[in-house]
Amino acid sequence: MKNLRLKAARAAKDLSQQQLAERVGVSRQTINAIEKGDYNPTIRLCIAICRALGKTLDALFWEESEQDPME
Amino acid sequence: MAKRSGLEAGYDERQVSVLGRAYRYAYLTLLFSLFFYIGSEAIFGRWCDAGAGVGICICISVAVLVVTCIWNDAYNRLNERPWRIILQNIILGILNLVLAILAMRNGEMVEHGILTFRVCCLALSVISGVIPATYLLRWIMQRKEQKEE
Repeated sequence: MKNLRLKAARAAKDLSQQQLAERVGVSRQTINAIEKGDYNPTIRLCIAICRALGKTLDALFWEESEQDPME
Repeated sequence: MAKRSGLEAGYDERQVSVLGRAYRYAYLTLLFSLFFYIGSEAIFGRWCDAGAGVGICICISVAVLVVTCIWNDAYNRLNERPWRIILQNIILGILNLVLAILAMRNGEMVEHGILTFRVCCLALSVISGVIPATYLLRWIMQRKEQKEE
């Protein structure tokens, strides 16, 4: 599933995939794969991306389901 | 950030994952190609010497490893430019092709109807050609992706 929230957050910060990749220490293709939903990042990389974009894990990576056990 | 070592040095987590998958594919390719080679000798009789047979199998599995890594952007380390690798492979490919042509002209490629170890030069030149070709195809694909971005 595509991660449009990550793409939107990156665009809001006016960052290219390459710039975000350099900030979190991965390749541009890795950021591209995460945005396209082709790669599930580790929690460590998720946190690094959230810090770089000034967002929370929930805001970028939490997928709401109809029967959310947290609710 | 913690200092990484060994295989992980210079690769990000997705690339390390791709490298693992590529090694698995290469290992399975080596097993199947060796099985096929041994089986073909058992069925059709001796058609190449052991060095040539095993050499070709290794070349095929290395090609699988390298193509899988290049296609998934896991062959180069972070911030490493592919030009050095492309240039090295073009030079290696030309040298091996020259050696293969010389062996063919001298009749050393096939002796008494059996392929000799010299055929590995031809196999290596093919691999050396496949690597820049894969880079070129991947580069074209990435340009399309970047335009979509």
